[in-house]
Amino acid sequence: MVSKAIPYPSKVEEELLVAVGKGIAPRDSFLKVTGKAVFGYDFKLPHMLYGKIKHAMVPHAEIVKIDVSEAAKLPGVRCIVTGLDAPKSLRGIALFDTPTLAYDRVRYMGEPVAAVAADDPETAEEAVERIWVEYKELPAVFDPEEAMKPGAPILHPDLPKYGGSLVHGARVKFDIPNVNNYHKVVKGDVEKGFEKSYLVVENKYENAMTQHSHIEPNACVCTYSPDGILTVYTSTQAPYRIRFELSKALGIPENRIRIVGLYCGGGFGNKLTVGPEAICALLAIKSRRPVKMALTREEVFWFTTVRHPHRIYIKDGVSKDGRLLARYIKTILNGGAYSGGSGIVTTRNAAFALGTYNVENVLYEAFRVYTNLPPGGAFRGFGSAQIDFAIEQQMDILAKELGMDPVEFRLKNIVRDGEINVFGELVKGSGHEKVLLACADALGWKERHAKPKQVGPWKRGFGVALVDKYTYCPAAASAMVKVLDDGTIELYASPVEIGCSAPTVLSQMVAEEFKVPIEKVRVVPSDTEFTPFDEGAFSSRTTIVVGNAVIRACRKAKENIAKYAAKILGEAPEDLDVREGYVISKRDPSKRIKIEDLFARGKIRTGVFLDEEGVFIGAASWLSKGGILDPETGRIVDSKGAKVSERAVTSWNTAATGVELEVNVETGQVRIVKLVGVADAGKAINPRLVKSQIISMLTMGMGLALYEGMVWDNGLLVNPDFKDYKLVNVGDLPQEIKTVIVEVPNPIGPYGAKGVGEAVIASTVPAIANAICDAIGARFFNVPITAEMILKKLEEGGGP
Amino acid sequence: MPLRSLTDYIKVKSPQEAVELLAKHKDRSKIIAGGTMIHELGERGLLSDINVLIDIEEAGLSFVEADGNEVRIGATTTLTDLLRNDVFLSPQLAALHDALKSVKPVQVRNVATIGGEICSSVPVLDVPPALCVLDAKLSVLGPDGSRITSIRDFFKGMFEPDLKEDEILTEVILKKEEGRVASSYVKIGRTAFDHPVVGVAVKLNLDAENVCRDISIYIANLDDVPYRAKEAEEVIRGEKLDDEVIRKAMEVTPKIEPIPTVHASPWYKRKVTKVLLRDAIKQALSRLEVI
Repeated sequence: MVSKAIPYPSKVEEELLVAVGKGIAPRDSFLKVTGKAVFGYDFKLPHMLYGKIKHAMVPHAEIVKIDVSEAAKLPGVRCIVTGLDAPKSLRGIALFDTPTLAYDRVRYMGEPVAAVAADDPETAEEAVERIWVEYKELPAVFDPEEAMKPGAPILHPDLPKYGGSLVHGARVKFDIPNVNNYHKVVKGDVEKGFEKSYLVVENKYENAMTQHSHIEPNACVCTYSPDGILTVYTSTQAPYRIRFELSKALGIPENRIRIVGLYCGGGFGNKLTVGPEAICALLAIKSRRPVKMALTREEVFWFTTVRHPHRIYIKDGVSKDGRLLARYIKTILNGGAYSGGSGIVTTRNAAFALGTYNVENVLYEAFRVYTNLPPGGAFRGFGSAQIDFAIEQQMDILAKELGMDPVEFRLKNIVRDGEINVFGELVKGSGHEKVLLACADALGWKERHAKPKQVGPWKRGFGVALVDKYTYCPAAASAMVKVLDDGTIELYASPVEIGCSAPTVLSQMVAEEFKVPIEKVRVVPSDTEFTPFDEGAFSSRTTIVVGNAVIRACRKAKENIAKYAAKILGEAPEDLDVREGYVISKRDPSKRIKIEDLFARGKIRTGVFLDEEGVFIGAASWLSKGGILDPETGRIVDSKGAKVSERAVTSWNTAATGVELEVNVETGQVRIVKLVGVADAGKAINPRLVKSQIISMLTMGMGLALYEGMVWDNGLLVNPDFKDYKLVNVGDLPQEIKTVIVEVPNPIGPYGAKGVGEAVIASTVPAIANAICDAIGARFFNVPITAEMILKKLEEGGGP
Repeated sequence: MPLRSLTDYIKVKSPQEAVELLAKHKDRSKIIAGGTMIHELGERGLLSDINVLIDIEEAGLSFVEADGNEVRIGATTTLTDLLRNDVFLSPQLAALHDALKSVKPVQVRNVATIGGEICSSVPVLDVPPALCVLDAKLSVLGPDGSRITSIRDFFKGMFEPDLKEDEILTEVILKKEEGRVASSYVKIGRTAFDHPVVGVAVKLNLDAENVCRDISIYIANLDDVPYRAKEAEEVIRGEKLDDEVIRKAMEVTPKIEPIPTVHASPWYKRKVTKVLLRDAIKQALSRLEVI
């Protein structure tokens, strides 16, 4: 497996593209709109039981006793499991610290302690209520900086004994309580940078804890066959990752676990790790019956992962002419009770904080801290929406202090092609300048002063923000294609359909490689039994990583077909092209044979076969090598300047948001007038889908900026529902939403593609904050920026 | 899981039938009309003692009848049906139209009923304060026949309507008022689709000189029941409605400490109540073409 660049087509070739670059509708639209697509919540098996979880209702306690006798007496109850009879093995991504069911202590309100399978969900729920748990309460801690103080309650006394991932292993700092991951990046000497700075600006930012709010709550069905195969039908983002984690949790080898990826009603990172699957599997194994577990919305809020709040201390130094000379960032992640797949957020946040601008001297430190709250996990943008909220407001503050235009100030500092970025990578294919300029242009940045500043109580403001989300590294995927006798091409790959229409995008690539109509491509649904390895739908990676594997698989299949046809056509294989359902001579296009004519009829004429080959297949993998950072520098070069890795990330996915809004100075309400989302897609394989990704990120970003926030009262969630956890609704959207696709080719992306699923969310949050400041002259260092916060600030006289 | 204890779901054909069933099943039963509140209570596990749901949607209570003197609204008339009825566009009744329009999203309006808005007796709904300023009369049916009560006396507390175990609301009656009368309702939510953080309903009755002969003000979500802002009414009643009087009314309102809402503290609610009071008065005045 070597990573070789797949050249993107030149201008001339582009005109010949048959499928790539075409805005075709998602191929499964009909299934979805008719309600026939089967999601995790819909899935059923005969003789199925229904599972329900007993959640802890204390934030921190030792489990003294679990009494299930009353529950067991209830007619219809078939199986009960508790932490005491479940395997005690721990699972996780960066750090293996999470039990399937709590067995010695509970660490957050909502943590599963037992589960029941019964004939119907009502009985299961009643049984759960009859389980009685005796606790010995322990002191709890909810604030991450409190948790880091000497003498704070220790959540995981066994932390030094925990295992972790070889690649993304957590760096535990044992000298500070509850710190379960630490990362730093060092470039130059920040102190010296500050000394020579003309202006130094220091601030503290913080984000609320938020929930992914995917429309389909986590749901799965598990079944365990007599020959010891565990099958999990689930609404997941990452079948192979779930399989790995389940293997860890249950002590079953990975090759005895089959994960069937059903239609997934959104995940945004919350279906990247094991949700109810492990507990459901325990019930299925014990009961020997299929068991379904479908979480309620409240359970999603209580027990699944959340987006961690970041507390960010940032200090910037600039020269008089507007060059960033020094940047110090200390960010503290409130990680909740377990590592929940977000050890990587701690590390990779540095990329979002430092990847966009050239700063001479950098010191970045991140601490992930255990507290008695739900585990922090992956969330669309993977930390970027949190850290960029701080960075992109700092950029505006610095520009203002220097008397510079915020766009000009950014342009002066962006990382450009040919430069070495903070990680030590040579920058190629950077979209920074084009994206920012496109955003300013579409927003009407230069003409903004022509509009009235205030109408009635509504004050107008404009804001922009520029960010980078990366696709992580190392990233790998495999794919296989099989060419049938009628020219149909079956694609075997493992990305699930989570709403991004990855199967459609990958079909376009197959159609492109074989120059056939997209109807000739069939995508086999994700199933670890048949479809090859993929790490999952996250990190804006599917188009790039799986796409590259798919293209390579197609080219291998074409080679095999050409080899087979070479003898028949009397040509050398390399002189043959496979396209439009034919094998064609490159030298003499009239010399050709239909793919179906390569197949022979069976003796009793019931089918076709290939005389000498078994089947026409092509299988390939793609790996972006690298991603190893030196622990002391946080870069791909160590302190002596030696390279430790090829690259830090697979792809830099640049985006910008432009906002025009109005703030009501009497009520503090914000009315968004216009949103502009710009994404550098490298090459938009399907512009229509890129556009819908941008719109979805603008709206989700609006929610994070203005409305969304989980509210806590001593470990108890006050708003576990959409009545008081407010999401953006269609009525909140502006009349004008503009999407702009920029295409600066990615040197290693398929046809030049980059990932577009996350970046705009990170630019939207600070762009809104910047526009609010532009409107009323007040800065907000916490999100969500509620109407109440705005009014309070105005009452206090505004100002930052 | 909602309504685990439910054993019967009965669709009745008349209000009398509903009353009989209520009398029989007492506190083990509950009326369901549009179902938006029942659904929520069930999901929150608050109906675990209910065995019988009595569906009154086909009990003949979906109608709007208007003559010169009054408008009679059947209890199961949906908010959408009311919103489509021109009779509520008159300046006097416009508060109800405003309130109906502010219930979002439209899917809720399509099933929620005016009776449900009233009988739920919760402070976060838009319609009750509007009906309070209009001094709606309620027709309540029990085993011994009907009684008429005022909506202003109907809300005893959160989830405590003035209904006996075996009584149902059948009609809402709005009487035409003489003179230059206009009403309005304005609210603010955390998002465009939200219950009111605060919602203010106002009804004005002006003489020919624009002096306020009478005013009523009810506010949603400041208290467990719609809050009557008597302090503001007293400032305005008998005065000519100019900016100075409005400013004074804003100053004294509200007199109570508002109940908190997630992302909206009592301080914030107090602040916006004043702004909404002004906006509601001005909206009503504009309907009388005073401003």
